[in-house]
Amino acid sequence: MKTRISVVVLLLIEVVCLASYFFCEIKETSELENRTLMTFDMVVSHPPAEDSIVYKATVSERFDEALKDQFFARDWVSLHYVDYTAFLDNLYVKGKRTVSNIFASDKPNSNTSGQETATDYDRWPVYGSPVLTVFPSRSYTYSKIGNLSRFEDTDYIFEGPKINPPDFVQVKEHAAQIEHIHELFPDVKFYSYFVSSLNSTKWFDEQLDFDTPDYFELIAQYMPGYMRMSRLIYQDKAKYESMFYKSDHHWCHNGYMQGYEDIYDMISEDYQLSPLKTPIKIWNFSDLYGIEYRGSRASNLQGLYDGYDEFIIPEYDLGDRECYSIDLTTGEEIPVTLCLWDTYKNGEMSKGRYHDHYIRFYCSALDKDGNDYSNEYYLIRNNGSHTGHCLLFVSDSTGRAIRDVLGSHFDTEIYLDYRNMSQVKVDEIIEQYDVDTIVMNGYGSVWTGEKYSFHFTDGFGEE
Amino acid sequence: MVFSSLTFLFVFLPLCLITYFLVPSKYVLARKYVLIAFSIAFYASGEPVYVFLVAASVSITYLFSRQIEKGNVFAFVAALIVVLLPLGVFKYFNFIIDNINRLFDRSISNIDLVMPIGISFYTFQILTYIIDLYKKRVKRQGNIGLLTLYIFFFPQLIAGPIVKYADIEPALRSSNEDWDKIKDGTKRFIIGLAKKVIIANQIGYIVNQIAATDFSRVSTPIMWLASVAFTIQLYFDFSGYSDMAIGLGKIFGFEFNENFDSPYHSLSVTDFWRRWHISMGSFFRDYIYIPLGGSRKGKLRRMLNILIVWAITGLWHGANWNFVAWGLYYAILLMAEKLFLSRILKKCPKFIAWIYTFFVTVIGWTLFMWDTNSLHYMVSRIRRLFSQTGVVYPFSVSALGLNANMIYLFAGILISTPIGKWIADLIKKWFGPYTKDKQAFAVAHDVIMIGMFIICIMFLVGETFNPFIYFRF
Repeated sequence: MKTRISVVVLLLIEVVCLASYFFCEIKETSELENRTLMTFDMVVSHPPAEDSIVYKATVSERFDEALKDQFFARDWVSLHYVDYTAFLDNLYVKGKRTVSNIFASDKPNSNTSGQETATDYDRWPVYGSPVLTVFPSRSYTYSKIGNLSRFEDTDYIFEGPKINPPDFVQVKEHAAQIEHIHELFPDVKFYSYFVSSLNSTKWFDEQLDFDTPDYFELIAQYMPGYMRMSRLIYQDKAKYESMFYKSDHHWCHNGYMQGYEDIYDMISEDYQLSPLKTPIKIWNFSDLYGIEYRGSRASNLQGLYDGYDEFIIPEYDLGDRECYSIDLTTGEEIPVTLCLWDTYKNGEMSKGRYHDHYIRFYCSALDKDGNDYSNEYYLIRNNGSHTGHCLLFVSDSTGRAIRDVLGSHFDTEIYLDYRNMSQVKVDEIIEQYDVDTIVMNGYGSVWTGEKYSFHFTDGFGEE
Repeated sequence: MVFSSLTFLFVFLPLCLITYFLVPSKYVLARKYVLIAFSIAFYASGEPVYVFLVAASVSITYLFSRQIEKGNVFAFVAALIVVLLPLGVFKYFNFIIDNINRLFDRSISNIDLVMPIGISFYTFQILTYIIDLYKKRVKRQGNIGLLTLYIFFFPQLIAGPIVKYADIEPALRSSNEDWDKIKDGTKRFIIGLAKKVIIANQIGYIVNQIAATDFSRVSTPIMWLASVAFTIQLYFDFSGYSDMAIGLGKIFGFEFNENFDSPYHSLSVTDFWRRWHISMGSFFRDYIYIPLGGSRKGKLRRMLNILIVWAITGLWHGANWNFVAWGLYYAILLMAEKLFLSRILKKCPKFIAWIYTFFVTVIGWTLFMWDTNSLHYMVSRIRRLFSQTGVVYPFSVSALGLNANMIYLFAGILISTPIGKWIADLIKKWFGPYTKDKQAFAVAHDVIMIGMFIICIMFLVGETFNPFIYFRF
C-alpha cells in the first residue's frame, strides 16, 4: 500500500465517525440498554442529575460519554461486544477443564490453615457447616449469553453461576439488631423468609469447582431461636422455572404464591389468621393484550435474547382498605393506589419491548393526580379486619408481589423496602403503629448487606 | 483528556491535524503556535485552573533563564525552588503533614488540594532545561512561545516521556514533517492505542476486581493473579501511552527517545531499569546519581548514592510510604547486583536469570500497586503471595467474573515476555518465504493497523455498554 493510502483511510474513518454526529439523529434513550443516553444537549446546558445513570461530573467527561452514547453504530457495536465477551467467557470455561485445577486451592476445604481463629470462624464457619441437601447436586447444561447464562433447552436466563458468599460478620450484626428489637419490644414476633436464588443451590458446583454449603442453615445458626425461618424450595430445574420469570430476576406468580403460603403457615404456628386467600381471578395480561414481557435480565442482554415471559397476576379479594405512602422525610401520609390494576385492566400499560412489567405493576404508588410515591414506605389499613394485629413487612422487591395479600390478614400493615432502611428508625415505626409481627423477606443478600441494616433512635449498632 | 478517549480521537486530534497542516510548512513558527494553542486546550480540558500554574512555571523559567545562562547561582537556585514548590505543595504537603501528625501525635489539618495532572513530568522537564542551561549544555530559548511548547507539548505533557530540552530543541526550530513520518507516527500511535484499549484496560478489570474484593477472601493464587495482572497491565498501559506520545510527536516532526525496550525480557534488575521508563531512569542518572558522585567515589558512597536515588525515585512515583518501600526494595536489589548478584546471574542459564528478574519485578509491583502508608498493609499483601494463612472463603476466577478477561492477560504475558519473541521467531521462520513480497507484506501490515484502529473504537464504544437493570428497585 502506498505511503499515503493507509493514512488517508484512517483519516477517512475519523471523518466519517465525526460527520455521523452531525447527520445521525440524536437518541435520548436506548431501548436495547433500557436507559437514558447522554446527549450533546446535556453536556453543558442540561447536565444530568446526580442520581442519573448517565451522571458525569465534568463537562469533558459528559462530552466523551455523549460521543460514546451517540456513536452512529452504537447498538451494533454493543451487541457484538457483548457477544464477543460471552465467547471469551466460554473459551476460558472450556479451557479450564484442560488446564487442570490451577485454582484448585480456591476450594475452602483445601485450605485449613487459617480457620482456627474465632474471627475466621465468624466469617466462614467451615467446621460444622451444614451440607446442602434441599438443593442436591444436579447437572444442568447451560451456555453463556452476554454476561449471563442460559438453560438452552428452556431458554431461561440467570446470573452466574457464581459463588454467592454471605458476609457472616454482617449476618451477626443483623442478628444483634433483631435481638435489640426483641429487647425493646419483647412481645413482637419475628419471621423470616428466604427467596432462594439459583446460586444458593448445588447445581453448578462442578462448573464452579466448589462445594456449596447450606447458606440458609448457616445464617440460621446466628439467628435468635424465637425467630421462625423458612425458605422457598424447588427440587429441580423444572420447579425453579415454574417459580421464576425466564427473563427477569423476580419470582413469578407461582413463586410468590408459594411464598405467601409459606409465610402464612409460619405465622399460623403462633396465632390464628383469617383463612389463606385464593385468587378470585388469575389475569394473563399477555392473553389480553399480547404483552411480551422482557424483564431485567433480557434488557441486560440487549437484543441478544429473544425469549419473553407472560405476565400473569393473581387477583385477591383484599376487602375495604386505605393505602398511604409515608414520606420518608416528613412522615406525611399521602393517600395512594398500590399496583396498577386499572391501568392494566384498561389496556393502558406500556407496551415497550423491554418494559419491566413486574416493577411497573407492583412497585407503583400513585396519588389521585397520578404522582408516583413508590419510593417511600407504605401504610395499609384493612378496615374489614379486626384481629388486633399489626404487621411490619420488610422486604426487597420480591415482597411487593405478596405485600397486599399477606397484609390483608392484619388490621394494619407497614411495608418497608430494605433499600429505605437507612432512612427510618425501626423502633419508632413499631411504637407508632403498635407493630406485633415482623416479617423479613427477600433474597439472601438482604441478610448480608450493610445497607439493609435496621436503624434505631438510640443509635444501636452505629459507630 | 486522554489519548484513548473518543474526544481525543474524533475531535481534538483531527482538528489539531487539520489546523496544523493547513498552515503552510514555510511558516514554521505559526505551526508551532498552532501546537501551543492546542496543547493549552488539551491541558485545560482536564485542568482548566491549573493551566495557569503550568503557565506560571514556564513564565518564571523564562524570566530567570537569562540570568541562569550567565551562571547566576542565585537565579539558578531561585528557579529550582520556584519550579519545585508546586510539586512539593500539591504532591507532598499532605504526606508530610500526615507523617508529622503520626510521629508527634498532632492533628494538623490537611489542605484540600487536587494534584495537577502531569505535574511530576512537566516539573522534571523544566528542571532539565534549567540545569542544562546553568551547566551550559544548552542555549537559552529566547522565544517564550517555543519554551512553552517544549513544556506544554500535549503528546508528552501528561505522562512523559520526560524529554530533555537538548533532544527536542532542533525540532522546535524547524518543520520536519513528511508523509513517511506521518505514517510511522500514525502506526506507532495505533499500536499504543491498541496496547492501552485492548490489553491494558481489559487486564485492569482483573486488578480492580481483585483489589475491590475483601482481602480476607483473596487466596494465594488470586493474589498472584492480581500481581501478575498488574505487572502486565502497567507495562501495556504505560508503554502504550509512550507509544502514542512518540507516534504523535513523530506526526508533528518531533523525535522522542524510546521510553521502553522490552523490559520483561530483562535478565537482571539492572537490565530491567535500563529498559523500563528509560527517560525517567536517565533523568535520575544524569541529574541526581552522577552529580552525587555516581560510582566514582568508592563502593560505600556508590551504595549510598543508589539508596538516595531510589528513595527519591520511589517518592517521585507517589506520596505514600509504599512507594518509598518500593524504591528502597529496588535499591537493595541493585546494590546486591552491583556487589555480587550480577556475577552469579551472568553464570546462570538465561532462563533462570529471566525467572529471577520477572519474579522480583512482580514482587516490586505488588508493593507499588496498593497506595498505602501502612506497613502492615504492605506486608500482608506480600505475605499473601506466599501463604494463605487467614484466608476465609476464597474467591475463584469464575466467581470474580473474570473469565473473559483472562485471555487478555495470557495475550499480554505472551507479547511482553520472551515467550512472545520465541513465538514470533517461529512464525517468521514458517512464514519467511511469504514475506519476501514486500509490497504484499506492507499492504497486510497497513490493513492490520486500520483493523486495529477500528477494533479500538469498538472497544471504547462497546465497553460503555451499561444496561440499567434495576432502574428503581
